Amino acid sequence: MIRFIEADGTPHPVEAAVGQSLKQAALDHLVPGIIGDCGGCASCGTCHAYIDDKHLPLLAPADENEEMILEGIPTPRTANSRLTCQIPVTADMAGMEVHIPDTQF
Amino acid sequence: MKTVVIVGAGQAGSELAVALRQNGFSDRIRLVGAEPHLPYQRPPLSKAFLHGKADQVALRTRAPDAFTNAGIEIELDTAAVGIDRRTRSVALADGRTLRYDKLALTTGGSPRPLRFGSGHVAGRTLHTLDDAIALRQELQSGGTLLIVGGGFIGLETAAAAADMGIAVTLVEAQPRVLARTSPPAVSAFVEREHRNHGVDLRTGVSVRSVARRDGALHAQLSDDTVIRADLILTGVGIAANDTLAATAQLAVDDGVLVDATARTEDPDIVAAGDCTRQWHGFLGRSVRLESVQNATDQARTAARTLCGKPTERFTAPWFWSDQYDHKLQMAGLPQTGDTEIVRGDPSTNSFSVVYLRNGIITGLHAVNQPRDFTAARQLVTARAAMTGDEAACEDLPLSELMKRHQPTAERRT
Ligand SMILES: Cc1cc2nc3c(=O)[nH]c(=O)nc-3n(C[C@H](O)[C@H](O)[C@H](O)COP(=O)(O)OP(=O)(O)OC[C@H]3O[C@@H](n4cnc5c(N)ncnc54)[C@H](O)[C@@H]3O)c2cc1C
Ligand code: FES
Repeated sequence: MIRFIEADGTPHPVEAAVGQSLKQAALDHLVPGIIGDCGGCASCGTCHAYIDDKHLPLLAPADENEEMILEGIPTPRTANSRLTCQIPVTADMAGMEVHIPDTQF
Repeated sequence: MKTVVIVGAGQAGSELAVALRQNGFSDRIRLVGAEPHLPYQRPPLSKAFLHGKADQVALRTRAPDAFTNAGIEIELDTAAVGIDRRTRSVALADGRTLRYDKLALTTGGSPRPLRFGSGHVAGRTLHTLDDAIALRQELQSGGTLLIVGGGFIGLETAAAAADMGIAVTLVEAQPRVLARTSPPAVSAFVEREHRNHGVDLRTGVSVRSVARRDGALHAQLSDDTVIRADLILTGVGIAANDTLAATAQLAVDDGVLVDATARTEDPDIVAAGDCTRQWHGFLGRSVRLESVQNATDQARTAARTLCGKPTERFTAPWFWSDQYDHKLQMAGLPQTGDTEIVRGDPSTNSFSVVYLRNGIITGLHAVNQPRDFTAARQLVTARAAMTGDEAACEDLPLSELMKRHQPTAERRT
């Protein structure tokens, strides 16, 4: 179970399938605020979200391309900023909180 | 109970259905699509899918469950053939009619067919999943491919085919590829990369006629050379699917005419995506845009309009293309007369072209420069002022310039 949380605090608990991307899990559960226009090829940056501190260390770090996309996103970029299309869901993500920014472009 | 009928189960139709639910619409949603497939994304068709690097599941806009759980009723393999605005009903090809309270048109576009000379040999097109499945199969069995049209679809297909070891010839009638959409520096880069990958790329020539002989196609070009190919693919643009709207007496002009809130002249009918010609809130002019971003963003706008929360669309358009391992991204919609400033050195395979008009950034084309692209999207939307020197200065990150500008009030997801 992953908890997507909208910028206004609305929670969306989602049963995500292991192996799918966090972005697709959000899309398949109609979570608002994750757009994912490029389909997950790390071109658009519209799947940006903040990963909670507890689970962040579990993730493989962003590659150079993801870093560059994140540089120009409209919402504040923090150490927790990630492109959700670049994160495959794993079993140890149970309980992870993913905070969605108030805008994607 | 109210019913919204959405005609066209593609990128925009799928997003519109979902956005209705996200905006609190709790009554009936019926999504009608002519294709036999659940809503899917087209961009990978000429990229990862053609290559075999992405499968059909990866193309889906949403999982099948997503629609079922949201109570979105989907009818596939079902074309709408008429709209009766008086009785508020849509006629389907199978003889049924669907009543609607609100109607959305998301019918997309169709590739412009190209027939060559008296032989009437038609080129194939790549627009649907079925087109891509067939093309992939044929490419896997080898042979030679002639591509007519140096736009994004032609070039992406050339890249995928060349990577698969297919001998590819690409002809473009204009003096350079991407002439309609991109600056000369980007065209030059793209042409060079295709030639480096073995594509026989010819600009300034067109196909005069094609004859079928000895089990192959022989294309005679305007410069009198003859190209032998097993397969011809044309990528010469699409026409908006606006006939349904036109026969229902809605205003069309190379696209269903809609305002900046995605409304047609009938208050009960909205339209979104490739099938529309819209008055664009940000650009302040009428445009027909063919991109995923436009389709999904306009679909969300249309959903809000149907839910009685109309908001004007106010985002700068953007687009991307992948060819080989290069990423092309563009933001804004520059017009002729805008100044083009090259940022970085094209020979390093990583550079951008910034467009300025009266000291304001109107667009940017990035080649392997995602950093410039995402920053430019914000700067273009903010109508940021910038000098030519700033635009050209690679050492000054565009994201630095962003700090000078307040975000626009109209931003939203
Ligand atoms: C090969 C390819 C690559 C692309 N690459 C990119 C890219 O890299 N980046 C990008 O931004 N964009 C790209 N695009 C463009 C992008 O896919 C389109 O802009 C987008 O799909 C438009 O969405 P839409 O919903 O308006 O139309 P579509 O997705 O085309 O959906 C329209 C649907 O309506 C259906 N329909 C039509 N008439 C009827 C009817 N009478 N009754 C029922 N159903 C009907 C059609 O069958 C179709 O399924 C690409 C397009 C193609 C073909
Ligand atoms: S979906 Fe486009 S960058 Fe993640």
